[in-house]
Amino acid sequence: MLAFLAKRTGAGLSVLLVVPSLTFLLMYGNAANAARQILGENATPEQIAAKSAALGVDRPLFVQFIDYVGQLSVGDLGRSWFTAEPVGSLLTSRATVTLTVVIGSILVSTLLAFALGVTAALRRGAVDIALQVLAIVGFAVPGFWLALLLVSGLALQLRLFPATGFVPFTASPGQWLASITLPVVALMVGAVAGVAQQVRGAVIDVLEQDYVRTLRARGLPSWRVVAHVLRNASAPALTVVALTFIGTLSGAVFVERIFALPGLGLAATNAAVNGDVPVIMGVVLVMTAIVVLVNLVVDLAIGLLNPKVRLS
Amino acid sequence: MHIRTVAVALAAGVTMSVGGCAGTEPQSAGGAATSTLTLGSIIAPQTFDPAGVGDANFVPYAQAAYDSLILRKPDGTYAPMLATDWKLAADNTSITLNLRPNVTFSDGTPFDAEAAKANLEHFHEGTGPLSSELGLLDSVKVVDADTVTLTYASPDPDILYNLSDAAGRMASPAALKNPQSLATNPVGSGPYVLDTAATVQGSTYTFTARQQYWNSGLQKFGKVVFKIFPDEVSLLNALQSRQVDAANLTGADNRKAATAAGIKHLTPDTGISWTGTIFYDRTGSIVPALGDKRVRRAIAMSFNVPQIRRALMADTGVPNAQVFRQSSPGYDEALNSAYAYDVAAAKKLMAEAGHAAGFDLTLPINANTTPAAMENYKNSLGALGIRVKFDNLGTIPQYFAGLQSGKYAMSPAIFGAGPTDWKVINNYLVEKATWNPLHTTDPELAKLIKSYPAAAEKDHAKIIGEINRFLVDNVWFDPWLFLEEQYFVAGPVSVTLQKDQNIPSIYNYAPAGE
Repeated sequence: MLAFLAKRTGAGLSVLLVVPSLTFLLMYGNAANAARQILGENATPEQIAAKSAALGVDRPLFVQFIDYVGQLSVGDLGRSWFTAEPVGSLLTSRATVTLTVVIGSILVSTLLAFALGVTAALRRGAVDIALQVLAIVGFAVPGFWLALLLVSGLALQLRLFPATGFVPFTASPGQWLASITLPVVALMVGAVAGVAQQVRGAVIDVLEQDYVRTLRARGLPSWRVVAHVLRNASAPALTVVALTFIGTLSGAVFVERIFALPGLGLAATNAAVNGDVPVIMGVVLVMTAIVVLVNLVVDLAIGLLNPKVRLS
Repeated sequence: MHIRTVAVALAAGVTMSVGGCAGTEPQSAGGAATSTLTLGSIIAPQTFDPAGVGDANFVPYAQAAYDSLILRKPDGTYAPMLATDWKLAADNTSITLNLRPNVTFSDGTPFDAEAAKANLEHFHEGTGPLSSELGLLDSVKVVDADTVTLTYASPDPDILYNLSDAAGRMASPAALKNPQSLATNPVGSGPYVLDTAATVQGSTYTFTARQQYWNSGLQKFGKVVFKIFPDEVSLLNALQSRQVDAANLTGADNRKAATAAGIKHLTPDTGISWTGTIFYDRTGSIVPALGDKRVRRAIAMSFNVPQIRRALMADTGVPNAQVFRQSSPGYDEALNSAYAYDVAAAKKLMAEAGHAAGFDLTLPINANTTPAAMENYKNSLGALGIRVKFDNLGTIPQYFAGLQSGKYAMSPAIFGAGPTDWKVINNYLVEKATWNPLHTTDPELAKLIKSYPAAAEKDHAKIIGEINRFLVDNVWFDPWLFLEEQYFVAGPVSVTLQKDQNIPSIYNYAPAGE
């Protein structure tokens, strides 16, 4: 198990090194325009040159890269070129919002998906068909469209939820719940559909295994049979949950935009539009770390559930 | 500023009060003590360092935290603020300011002449977007504890404007020593103090009323919250659901939706931004034909502005042919018909100039240029035989860099008309102006420009009028329309528009009924 863990961690770390380095090279090649963007349309060449020097983007790319790595080594992610905010504190506050919505969505959608998938696999027949149709519809509905419908219907017309904004849990638990409900619903519908289908398929596959027939023949109660089935069906389902988590992280961009949530996705798109390189680098680092961590956790979980994976 | 997301003309003295909604906390009997003003915007503050603050959307953020030396009233006239009075030299080369005593910054540091000097020098040395406001400053002399004299290297007719704007905002001299901290945590003498615990940078900025502020007349609310939105659609949703009290909307569809939802708005009546075409090559160094003003005029006459307004601008915009704003003393309504749409007359001008067969022209565009806008150029210029090739320069900063490189003969444009005539002159007309990339000059124009800075104010209208006529006669620019915006007010607040500002000053809001 230790060798398995070391192998997976090594792979994750290499991704964590390569992706931000490539991003740095891609972004800094275009960083000279940031000074012009900050100063606006009437900036003179002298002003632009002075601002470029102040930002440090007039130096050779290699020098900038070494400088950035040096900063990172002491935990300094720099400051936003556009809001002057330390990138570290920006990421902390933004990641809180994004992860709240994404984790909320994954938790709710996973619970629902497992319930629906297992029910469909066990009951089959009309229930299975109905749940499959629902899943397909859920999968087909574009998340952004659903988000807009939710805003229009439940926020603007019925005034049941706030149309925009995020309220921290510490400020008001009730308002926090209200502020994340619609974004979570908008994100989870597609996830429920996808994971439920996978769970259903995996459970049906396992149900057809010989050992399940043997368990039943030995007279085990149904709930114990289902427990065995679930343990073996969980591995493929977990992989799908992990992929869904990463997909939902990307999907958070549109939800943050529609609901004006100050999350990582919004920070990333704004920074990309403005050419705010320190923020883009910070977001890429955090996102890469999250993806690596999620994959690592899922790999370990699958390894624990299925010893064959560890051996391979 | 960046390509203007805003282009509003807001006339002085237009006030609106709207009542009854859920977005703003109920007022106490005392009004300001408990009421909250929540403003929405799609532009977040870039920095709270006074030397780095921009204009337009950035103004209210800065005004919440900082007082300026001079107050610019809603009608654009000047009034005392941190300077109680001043004496401006007749030739605009110096100003002596008497400063208000007993004022402190929010960190307890007293405001005095040394503090003013430190701020002015900090701004002068800065690299912010408005650093040119003190570009001509030569020295700041502390006369006594409450008096400073600013001396300029050459006449600056915008001294009062600049000291009522970014250049005049005063921060604690102690805070100036730590610009990184000042960038996110303003320390001013203004009516409000940033509540950092209730602030999420780039998303929500919460200011609370400063205790014992020296001018309670400018402090109308207990709390001012700025909410930043990723786009106008979510901002519109926030207005509709009364999560914000007021915001400006630039998109025609969003404005229609807001109006349909019953949200009241203030109607702009002065243009401060325009869209149209700039001719850079007025001597024919890139495209020889453009050196002939008859060709430039023919091109200007080939654009069907009413149709452009309908098809490309969603029926918004005020037809205009001048680069000076409508409130400029040199603005002349009669000049707006100078390039009236007339293809037959335009073809005749082309023939007279010896270009009846047309010529090849490369037009720079950017990633945001719509196919409809490209068709407009292709069809309008094509009617004169001009064969257009487009050169996509990419993002807006890349586009601006390309335009200023001196490679292009003309380009589409959306530009601010400038809050003062002197700024228009410096941004567009002088030989080294940013928007004169081929450094065109003319003896007649140069003489007029030279006479302006030291001239008495009573002579400004005549000089600007002559400059304006020169530009129109010689077809240096081809503005089509002043852009329109509307300022929407959903909450129970009263708002007074500010002359030549797209966003009202923070002092111009009050709880409804006050």
